[in-house]
Amino acid sequence: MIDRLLYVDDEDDIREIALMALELDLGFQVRDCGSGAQALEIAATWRPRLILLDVMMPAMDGPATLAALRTREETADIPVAFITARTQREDLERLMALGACGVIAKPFDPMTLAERVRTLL
Amino acid sequence: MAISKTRRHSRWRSRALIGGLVVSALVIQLLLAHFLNSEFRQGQLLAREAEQSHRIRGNLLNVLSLHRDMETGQRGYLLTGDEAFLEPYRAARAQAEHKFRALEHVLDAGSPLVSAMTDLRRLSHAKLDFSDRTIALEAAGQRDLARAAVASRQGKALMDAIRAQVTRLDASERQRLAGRTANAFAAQDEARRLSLMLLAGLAALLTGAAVIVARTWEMRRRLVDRLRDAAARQQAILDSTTDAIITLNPSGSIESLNRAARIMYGYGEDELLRRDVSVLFDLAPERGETQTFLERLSIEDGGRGRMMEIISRRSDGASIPTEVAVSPMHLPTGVHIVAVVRDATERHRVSRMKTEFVSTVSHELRTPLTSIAGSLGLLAGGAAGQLPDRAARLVGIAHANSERLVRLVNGILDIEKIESGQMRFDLRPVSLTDLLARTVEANLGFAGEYGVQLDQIETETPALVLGDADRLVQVFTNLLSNAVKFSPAGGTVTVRVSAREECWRVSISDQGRGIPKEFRPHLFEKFTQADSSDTRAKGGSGLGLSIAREIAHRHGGTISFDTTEDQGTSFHVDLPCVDDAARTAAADGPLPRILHVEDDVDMTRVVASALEGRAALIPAHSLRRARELLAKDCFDLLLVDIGLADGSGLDLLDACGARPPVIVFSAQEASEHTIGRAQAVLVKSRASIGRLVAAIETALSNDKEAA
Repeated sequence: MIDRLLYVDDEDDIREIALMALELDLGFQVRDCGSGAQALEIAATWRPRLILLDVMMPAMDGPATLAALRTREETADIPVAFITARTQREDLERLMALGACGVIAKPFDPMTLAERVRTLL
Repeated sequence: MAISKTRRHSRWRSRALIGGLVVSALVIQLLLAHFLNSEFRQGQLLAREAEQSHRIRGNLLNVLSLHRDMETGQRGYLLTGDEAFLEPYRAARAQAEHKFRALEHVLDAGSPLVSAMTDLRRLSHAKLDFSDRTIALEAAGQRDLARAAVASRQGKALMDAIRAQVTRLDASERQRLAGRTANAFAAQDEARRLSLMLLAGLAALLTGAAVIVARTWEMRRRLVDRLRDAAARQQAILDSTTDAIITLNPSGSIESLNRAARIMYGYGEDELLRRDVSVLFDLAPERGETQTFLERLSIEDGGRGRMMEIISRRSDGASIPTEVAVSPMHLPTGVHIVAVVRDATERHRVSRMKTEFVSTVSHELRTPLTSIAGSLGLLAGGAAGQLPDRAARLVGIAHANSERLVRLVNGILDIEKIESGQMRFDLRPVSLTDLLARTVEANLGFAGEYGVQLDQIETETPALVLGDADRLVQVFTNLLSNAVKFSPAGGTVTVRVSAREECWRVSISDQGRGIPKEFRPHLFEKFTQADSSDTRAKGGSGLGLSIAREIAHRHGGTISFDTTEDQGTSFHVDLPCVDDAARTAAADGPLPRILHVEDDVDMTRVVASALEGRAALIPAHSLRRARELLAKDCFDLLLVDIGLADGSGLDLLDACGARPPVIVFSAQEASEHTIGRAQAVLVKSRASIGRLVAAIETALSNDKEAA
């Protein structure tokens, strides 16, 4: 079975690398977008199994996007994992407390990223 | 010391000089008085003697005159036979004896005139007898016989002898008086000479005294000027410092303060003088406990000063964080305090800015690093297809270094967190055996890359400590990766846990070259490695051991090493142990309640975890909070730290009477007074958490029995 993943990050380079890293797992079908607003649209229609959400994004940041996802009926139950460069314990705990199913620290190891995501599913 | 000795010497010398002058002046005055007195007496004596001499000479002339009168009367009668001539004769004769008596009366018994006077008197008697005889012959009508007697010239001879004797006596008396006068004048001259000399001496003394007084005044004036200058200079120094400087008397009242203090606290020139220091600091002494306040400030640790962070209050009520260096001044009036206060607002702000900056920079660095490390990782991992060998090696180098850069960024962030006191430790009982197994497992691949074998010596015990599992894993990972990196290929890194007194020891040993002697003292410093080539060869950040040591310290533990060149190095992490049997023992009934007065939040967590299941720990992070809690609640035990931000934990002891039992757990050595009141006094640096728990249990059970 193919699992749909949505990767949301405003950094194009990182998005491209993450996409390549995740697609190393042939069981993943990955889509990406560069903003929270786009993520809301795609999530509502495409219904991914998991959303990987960057925390620091202009306009609508990760936590705001998560909150918006939770308010919409069609996306309320989609698991969300944050990807962040702020990796101190307090940051991770704060993000977990927002209702994320996991937090992945940047920089991530691209060769093991897919495995890590798999453990979140 | 030498200066004060010289000053004392000089003071004594000038006092001796002034004393000598005064005594000399007095002696001279006394001598002068003596001379004047003796001169006056001499004058009186001379005057008396002159008067006496005058009287003697007067009487001698009288005697001569009487004899002339008598002779005139006798001759007149003998020539005329007229008895009228006998009247003066008789009158003179009657007075002659009286005059002689008067003369004898005037003469002193020892006077050389006495014998001459006797001769004169004899001559006088002879003359009178002769005159009486001739007058008697005339009266008897024997004029011829009378004239024959006169013609015999006996009367004339007697009269001449009397005249000559009187003249001699008079001359003698005159001569005597002249000699006496000459002597007196000579003595007077001598006295005058001496007096003049003494007066000259006195004048010299007075001149000397005047010179000394003038010089003393001048010196005094200069000294006063110098003192005034020094005082003004000192005040200028004090007033030009940006730190507030406040002096307190032994009862805690403000004695003086500089300009910076007035500006910092917003008070006028003299508004703060003699007011209690509590007006400035949130370190108020309780009413009647000023001594305790001073003890808390400085005397507690043997009279040496210390630095404190105290919240200060401005006149407008605003609070400002301040760093206060408090030092005692031992003065004759008691122990005074000098407090140098620095506004820490800016430092706090800069510190916050620095932390935020480091945090932001590390985040900003991570974003490009994610792209770099990610791309290189994919390339190295073959995600973009097989690379030619040389390209693969280059990509491998770039990838390894991008990972090293990530570790460096993480290390800098950790160090910053630790140093700013913002690293949080989630302390729970954890098994070192399990943590080491996890660490070894996680590093097997890494060790394999270096051809090094990891060997964990098996142990039965879980080796429980109170620790933050993630942080401890960070420490062990660092030590393990160092051991692997510095091991020869084919070597073994051994990991073991052993029991030490009241702690567990984790030892990680390699078979490497050992640590060079000259580098050992700097091993735990930041950014130090044995040599720069090592840094590059081993890919370290230079922060790992520094972070590891800080983390160990924050767990109440230590980190140390043994090393032998060419044989290897062992790093040891000693962590206080937790008695797991006690921890898991189920408590029957409600748990005893312990008020833990301690301003170190981490420490309250450590102790709370150690007492989990055995006692309920209620933390109070300030003295004020502790007082509030004690006022409205009952506790089975009081666990107090001495040095709190807002005062001394010991102040609580007097306030809470005989119950509940008290245990002092502090970094400071406690006084005898404390030991008397407390059930136990434990010093943080020497007592483990295990011993603290044992002391608490003993105190609680003793109290239960007593109740």
